[in-house]
Formats: sequence, structure tokens, C-alpha cells
Amino acid sequence: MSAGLSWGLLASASVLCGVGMALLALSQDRNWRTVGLAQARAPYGRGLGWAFLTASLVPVLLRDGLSFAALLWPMLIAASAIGVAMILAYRPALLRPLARIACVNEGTAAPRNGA
Amino acid sequence: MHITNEFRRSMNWLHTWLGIALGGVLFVIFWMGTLTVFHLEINRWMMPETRSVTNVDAPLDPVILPKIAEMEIENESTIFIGRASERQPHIRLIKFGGSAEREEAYLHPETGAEIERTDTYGASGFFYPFHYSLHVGWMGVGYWIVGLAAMAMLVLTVSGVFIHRKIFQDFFTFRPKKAARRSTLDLHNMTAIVALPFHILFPLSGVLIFALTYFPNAMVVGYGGERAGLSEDRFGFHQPAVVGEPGALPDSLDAFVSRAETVWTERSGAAARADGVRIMNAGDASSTVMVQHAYPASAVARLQGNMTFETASGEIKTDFVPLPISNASSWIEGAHFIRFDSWAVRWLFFFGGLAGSAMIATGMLFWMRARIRKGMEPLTVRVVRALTIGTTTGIMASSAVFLIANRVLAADAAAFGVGRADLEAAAFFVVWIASFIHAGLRDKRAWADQCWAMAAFCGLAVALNWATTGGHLIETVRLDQRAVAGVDLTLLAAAACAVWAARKLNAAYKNDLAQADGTSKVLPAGLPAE
Repeated sequence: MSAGLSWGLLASASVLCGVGMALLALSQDRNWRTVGLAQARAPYGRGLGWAFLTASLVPVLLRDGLSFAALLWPMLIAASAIGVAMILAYRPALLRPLARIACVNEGTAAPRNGA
Repeated sequence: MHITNEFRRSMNWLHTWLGIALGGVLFVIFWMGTLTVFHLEINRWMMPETRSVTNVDAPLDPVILPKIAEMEIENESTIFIGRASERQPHIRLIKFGGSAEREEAYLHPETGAEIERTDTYGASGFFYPFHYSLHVGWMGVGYWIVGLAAMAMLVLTVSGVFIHRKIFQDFFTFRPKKAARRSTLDLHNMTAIVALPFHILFPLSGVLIFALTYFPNAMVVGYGGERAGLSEDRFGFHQPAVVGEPGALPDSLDAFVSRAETVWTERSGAAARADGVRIMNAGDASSTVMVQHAYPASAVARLQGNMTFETASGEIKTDFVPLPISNASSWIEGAHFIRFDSWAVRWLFFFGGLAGSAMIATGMLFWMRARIRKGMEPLTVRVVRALTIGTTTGIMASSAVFLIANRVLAADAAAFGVGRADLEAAAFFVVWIASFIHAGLRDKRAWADQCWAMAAFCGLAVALNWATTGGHLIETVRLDQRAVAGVDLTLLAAAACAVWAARKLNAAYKNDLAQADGTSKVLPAGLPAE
């Protein structure tokens, strides 16, 4: 495997994992409020988060195979979680663009949450 | 399973007391283990003569055979040749066994010239054994303390999981602006939970690696109490019996290496590279040559092959193929050794180690604060705080002093009857002990003081590397000396983090002073779980 492909797969795994973790964090009420978006959060955010997280396993498997993925993937998840927690603590506004894809647009607001 | 509050309370009790008893030792192990992740890179930094990488695949015979011909060999001698690699760009030639003393030389892989390396233990001889033996050699007590701490770590991890009600919530909960007690606990929970697989894998695999030390008899029972049988089955290690009659020395090592590599490559489907050659009973009629594949680049599991040849005839004597159960064990151990070729995993494990260190330190800090609020004799407070500070920031600052000593001591330095390498270690221990005394004298202010000291030491180490070797960052990057550049950059990053922490701690101290008018609230009995 070329170095470029190897880096590309690692980068895409990191991005998928980071986005997945951020969506999962946003699926919790307290974190959603921290980001400070006017709209209510959509119910599918959590499922989307899990989907991204699971998808991040694919490039890891392609890059290194199962034996290495068993080490790399949990550590990527750990790093992503700490990264998301730090963003929420110090720069929560950075998560707003991501929060917009997981929020309920006006007019189509679901009855739950009622923000 | 329904978890009652009583069960949770008992887990809390267990967690608290194990944490108090072994938290300090665990921090030392985690910190030293974290440095060990890059022990070969730190070695390059500490032994400037071994920094430049040349053709590590140059043939062995022109380099090694003349050296062996010059050696004084007894029938019991073993000659080990550690092949050069990217992370360790020199050949290690070691002779041991028989009546002579162990000899070790570093050789240039192309010219065979002996490298006059700096007299130092390096990270491999200091940080590395620190994390599994604490340098307590007496009756192997260090190994046992570490083993006990590793078991305690597993118990702490499991009990910690049960104490918490909101595992998932803790993933993202860090509130630095809340009270120090709250944010300390947040950091403890977060670093513990996000890296949970890491916190279980490392103590578990560490205990497994030393299984033969901790349970010396259990595994050899099936072999009539003889370790040799176990060594053959588990490690493919075959020690022939000395006959006492003269035999031939190998006339080519490369031939054996290439035969073994061909077989391994066909067997595993991935290019296999032997990492060591061992000439057993060199010069005896029973002599064999063992080609090792102890740390494969492309597999997590270590020990993928060991092939033994008869030196005289060149015939294959044993060809070790690990059994599935042996391979499972090797996978867990290989994950701990991190010798495979994956920089991503290596860096993530380095950060995992830092997360573990942060988890242990915040755990100790949280307990200490809660305990002080409940009421404690002022002298006891001072002692407990001094112990905590010395164990955490003290050992971190002292580790940088070890590097500084490596750069400032003269090549032939000797004092108090010990040589240069021991003086480096002494510098570490003197500063470490001083950090406890300093913490005792300065009390709370010692936190910030020692962070400032660490920042200064790390910066000084980088500057001294430049001054003594000319290897500043631009130069080491230009020469593609990644190990040295990486150590320098990590030292600078550590210095930056230490400055940031020192400023925060100083602000917290001033805040404490402002509030120190008797308004501190007393916590209800028992440590809050949430």
C-alpha cells in the first residue's frame, strides 16, 4: 500500500470517527444546549452518529487489517471523544455547522423537545 | 444485572483504598511506560553517534564474520546479532555465556566500524526497566510491586465502571469552568472511560508478559518442571547441549537469514524480515544458528518464527510455528511491546499513556481535596500533598533532567566511584527526591513551581541538544533524523503544556488565597460518585 493511500485512509477514518463522536455528543441534551443553536435537535442525530462511527471502521480495516484495527480503532474513538469534549469545553461554537445537519428545521419541527 | 446502591458504595470503598495505596506507583509505571513507547527514539537522542540511518539491509557477512573470527570463544558462548532497523540503525553484536564477561558492541551496518557510543543507559536501559521493575532489583521486589499494581489497576478499572451511573454521558463531560473539584473529577472520568480498552489491555498484557516471573511453576508443570521444554513449545527456543568437541563457526549468516525469511514469507503471505541471529554454543560441535522473527513489522503478534539450523551441516533442525493459543498470547504481548510498524498505533498509545497518567493524577488529586475538606491535620495535609506532587510533577520534571544530564556530562565523566551512565541516573533520582522536599516546603505553590521547572528543563534539553550536537530542529528535519526531531518537538510541546498548567495552577492558588477566609464548604461523608 502506498504511503499516500495509507495516510488517506487514516485521515478519512479520523474524520468519520470525529464526526460520529461529535454527533453522538450532540445527541445529549446538555451538549446540544452548550452549542447554542436556536432549533431543536432532530431525533436521527444519534443514529447518524453511530453510523459514522461504524463507518470509520471500514478505512481502518482496509488500511491495516483486523489485527491492527483492533488496536487502532478503539484508540481513534478515544482520541475523538477527548477532542470533542475539549471542543465542547472551550470552543463549542465550532460544532454549530455539524449541529445544523442534526437539527429540526422550522416549519417541520417535531413535537418533541419544543425549543 | 441490578446494581444496588450498597454494591456501588462497596465498589467506591474498594476504588478509593486501592487508589490511595497504589495510585502513586501506578502513576510512576504509567509515566515511565508512556516514555517507553518511544524508547528507541529517545535512545537516538541520547546517543548522537547512532542517529543517522544508513542502509540497514546491508549484508551481515562482510561485517560480522571478521568480528566473530577475532573473538575469544568458548564452547558455551552465545553470540547474538541484532539486525539494524529503521528505529535502531546499527547492528548490535553481543557475546555472553561461558566464563567471560558479557560483551556488547554497536556496529555500523555497512562498514562494520564499531560505534563509540555515549556511555548512557538510554531510555531502553532506564525508562524501560523503570516501568516494569521500578529499578528495585533486590529479590525481584520491583517486579512484584509492579505486578500487584497492574492487578490493582484492573480492579480499579472495573470498580470505577460500576461506581458511575452515566458512562455514556461521561464521554464528553469536561467542565473546566466549574469548581476545581468538579472539573478534576470530570477529567478523571473522561480519561478513564474513553480509553477504557487501553486501561485494561496494558496492565493485562503487562502481567501476561511476566507470567513466568509471577507464576514460575504453573506453566512448567507439564514439562516435568523443566523450563527448556516450555521454551521450545512456547518460544521455539532450542538450547543444544554442549558436547565439548570443537566445531565449525558459520561461514555465512546471510544464507541462513535468507532461507528462514523465504519460508516465513511464504507461510504468512507478508514480507518477513528476521530481526536477530543467535549462534548457540559457538565453536562447539553442537553449535546451531537460530534466526529469529521476534518482532514482525506487519503483525501485532510478536514471535512469528524461530528457525534453527545446524551450523556444520546447514540443515534445518527446528522450525517453530506458533500454536494458535501461543499466537493469541503473542498478540496481546505484541500489542504491549509496540514494535510493529504502525506509527499511528504508537502515537495513539503514547497519548493513551498520557491519558492514563492524567486519570491517575486526577484521581489522587480528587481524593486528596475531598479528604482535606473533611478535615485533616495540617502536617498530614502537607505530607500527603508533598507525596502527591513529588510523584506526579516531580517525576515528570526529573525525567527531563535525565536528558539534560545526558547532554551536559563529559564523555568520561566519573564521580563518587561511578561512571557516566550512573551519574545520569543519579541526576534523575537526586532531582526526584528534591521535588518531594521542595513540595513539602512550598506546599500548594509547589504545583505551579514544578510545572515551571518542567517547562524550563524541557526547553533546556532541546537547547542543549542543539549546543552539543548541532542538531537543531531544522537540521534534524533536513537530515531526516525523525527520531531526534520527534523527541525535540515532543519536549517543546511538553514545555508548552507545562507553562499552560503552571499559569492555571498559579491562578487557582491565588483564587484559593482570596477565598481562604473560612468559607470552604464541608463535603458530606463519603466520596460523591457523581
